[in-house]
Amino acid sequence: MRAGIWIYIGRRVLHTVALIVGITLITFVLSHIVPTDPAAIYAGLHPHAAQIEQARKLLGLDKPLYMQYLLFLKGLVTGHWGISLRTHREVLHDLMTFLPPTLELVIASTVLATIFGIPLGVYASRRPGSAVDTAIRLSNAGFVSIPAFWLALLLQIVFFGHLHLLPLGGQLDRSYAHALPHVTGFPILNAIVTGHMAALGDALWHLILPSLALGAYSIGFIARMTRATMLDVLSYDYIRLAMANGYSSLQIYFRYALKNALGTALTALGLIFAFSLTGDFYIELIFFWQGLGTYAVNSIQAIDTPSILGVVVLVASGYAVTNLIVDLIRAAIDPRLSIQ
Amino acid sequence: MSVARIDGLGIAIRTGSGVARVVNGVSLDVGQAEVLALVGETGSGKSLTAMSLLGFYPKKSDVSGSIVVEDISMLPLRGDARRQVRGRKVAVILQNPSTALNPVFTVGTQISEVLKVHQHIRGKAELRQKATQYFREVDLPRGDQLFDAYPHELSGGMKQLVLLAIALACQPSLIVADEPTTALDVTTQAEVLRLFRRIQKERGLAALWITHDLGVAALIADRIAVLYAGSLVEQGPARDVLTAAHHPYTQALIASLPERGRRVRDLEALAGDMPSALQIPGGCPFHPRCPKRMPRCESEPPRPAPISDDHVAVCHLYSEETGEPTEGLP
Repeated sequence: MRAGIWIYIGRRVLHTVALIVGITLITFVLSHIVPTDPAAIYAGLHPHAAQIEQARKLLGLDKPLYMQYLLFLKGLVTGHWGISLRTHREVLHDLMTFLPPTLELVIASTVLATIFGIPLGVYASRRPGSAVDTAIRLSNAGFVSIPAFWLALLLQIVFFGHLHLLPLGGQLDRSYAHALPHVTGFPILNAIVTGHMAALGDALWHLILPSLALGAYSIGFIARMTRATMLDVLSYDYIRLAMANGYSSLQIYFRYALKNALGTALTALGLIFAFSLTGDFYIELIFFWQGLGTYAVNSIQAIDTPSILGVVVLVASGYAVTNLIVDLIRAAIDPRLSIQ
Repeated sequence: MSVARIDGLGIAIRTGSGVARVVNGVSLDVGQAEVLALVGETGSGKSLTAMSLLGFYPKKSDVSGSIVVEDISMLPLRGDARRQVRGRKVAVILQNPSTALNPVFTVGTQISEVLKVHQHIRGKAELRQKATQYFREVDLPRGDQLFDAYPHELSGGMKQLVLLAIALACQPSLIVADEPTTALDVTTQAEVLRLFRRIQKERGLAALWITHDLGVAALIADRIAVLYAGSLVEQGPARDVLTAAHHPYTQALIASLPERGRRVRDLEALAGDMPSALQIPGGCPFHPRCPKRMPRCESEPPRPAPISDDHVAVCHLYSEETGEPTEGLP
C-alpha cells in the first residue's frame, strides 16, 4: 500500500532538479545585468588594456551569452564553478572551505529551535489563555521581532563586555586553533575525532552566543507554529476519544497529538534551516566567524561576480534540497501524503 | 441495580449573551445489560447529558446534580481519579468515524493502545492477536489484515466497527454511543445496529445510545428516554414509549414518522422550533408548541408522573401522584 511513495519521491526529486536549473538561469541573467567588468576586476589594480584582454579570454567572457550560460551550467555539473576574481582560486574550492563553519552555525541554531521551540509550543497549547501560555507567546513575539544582528551585539556586550563569561567571537581560541589538526572543516568534529576534550569544550563555548543570536528567531517561529498546530490537532475527535479512553496527558500530547503536528513542525524547521543560511551572514560578520557569510560579504564588496554567483547557487540549491528532504520525511510520517 | 445513574443533572453555560441552560434537571438511569436510547432533536442536550457520564463538561459551565457510574460519583472527580473511570468503566463511541480515528497511526496501533492501558497486554505478537480477535468479533472482513491498515484506507462502516472494537477492548461496564450510525448509509446502519445489539446481549453490556432517530431507537433499545430543550419529557420501556407514548411531544415525534406502505400527502409536523437554551420558556419548556397545553403549563414546570412502574411522563396531563390523566382539570 505504500508503493505510491516511490512515485511521490520521483516527482519531488525531478521537481527539485528543475528548480535548481531555474535558479542557475536566474542567477546567470542577474549577473549580467550588473554593470561591471569582471575582466578588469580580475586583472587587479591598474591593469593594462592587454592584461584586461588576457583576463577576458581566460574567463571566457569573449564568447556569446548563451554559450557562456551553457559553459556555466556545464561547469556547475563538473565542479568548475568559475574562478574567484578576488582570490584567483576555484570558486567551488573557496565555497567548500568556507561552508563548514556556516553549516555549524545553522545546524546549531536549528537544533536550538527544535529543543526549545517544540516543547515551548506544546506547553503553550496545553492551557491556551493561561499565564504560562501568555508568557510563552510574549517571548515568542520578542524572539521573532528582535533583529538578529542587534541581538548579537547585545549578547556580546552583556556576556563578553560585562560578564566576561563568553568569548567575543571566532570558532576557537587561538591556542587551540593551532593545536587542533584539520581532519574535517568542523572544529567540533575535529576535537571529537582527535579526542581533544578541552578543545571540544572551547569550540562549544564559542558556539553559544552566535547560535543563540541566529536561533532566537527560529525558536520563536517554531514555538508559534507548534502551538498553533497543536491547538488545531487537539480539537479533533480522536483526541477526545483518547481522553475518553483514559490515556494519560503525557501520552496524548507527546505521542498522539504531536505526531499529527509534526508534519507542519518539520516543514517549518526546514524553512528555518534554509532561512538561517541567509540570516547567518550578519552573525558571521559580528562574531568573526570565517564562514560563507564573511566570504560573501567580501566578494560583494569586491564585486567578485563568480564568487557571488557561486554563493547564490549554493544557498539557493541548499534551500531546494532542504525542502525536498523535509517533504520526503513528511511523506514517511503521514501515510496520507503518499497516496496522491 | 443500575450501572449508571443521573439525578437532576443541570448544565448551564455562561455565554456572552446570558446563561444557556442546556440541561435542566434530567434524571435517568441505565440498568445492567440494558440499552437506554436517549432520543431528542439537535440541541436537546442529549450529547451533553451523555458526555457528563465520562466527565466531559462544556467550557465555562456550571454543573449541578449527581452523576454516578457504578457507585462512583463523577462530578467531584478530576485528573487521575477521573482518568481511572474513563475507558475502564465507561467507553465511548463517537459519531464521526472519519475524525474519531487518528490518521497517522494504524488501526492496529490504536486498538493496541487500549489493550496496553486497560488489559495490560505487552508484547507485539500478543497485541496483534488480541486486536485481531476484537476485529473478528465485530465482523470486520479480513480482520487479520486490518492491523496494519491506516484509517483512510477503510470505509466509513469499517471505521465505525473499528471504533466499536476499541470500545469493547476497554472492557467497560457501560458504553456511551453518540449517534454512531448517523454518518453511515442506511444499509450499513442497520448492519451495525444489529451487530451491536448482538454483542451487547452476548456480553451483557449496558449502553446509553444517543440518537435523533426513533427508528434506530426501535431497533436497539430496551428503554427510551426522550429529551426536549434540555429537559426529560418521557422515559420508559421501548415498546411502551413507542406504542403508547404519553407526552404530547413524544406523540408528535411518532406521528411525524412516515408510515410504511402508506402514501401521505403531507407529513404531520409540529409547528414551531425547539427554543434556544438561552431562552427556555417558563413552566413546561414545550408549552408554546403543545397542542394540549393548559394554563398551568405556562407557569408551573411539570414533575415526573408515574404512568407505570417503569414509565414516567413529565407533563401536567398526568397526575404526579397517581399517573392518571388529569384532563379537564384546570
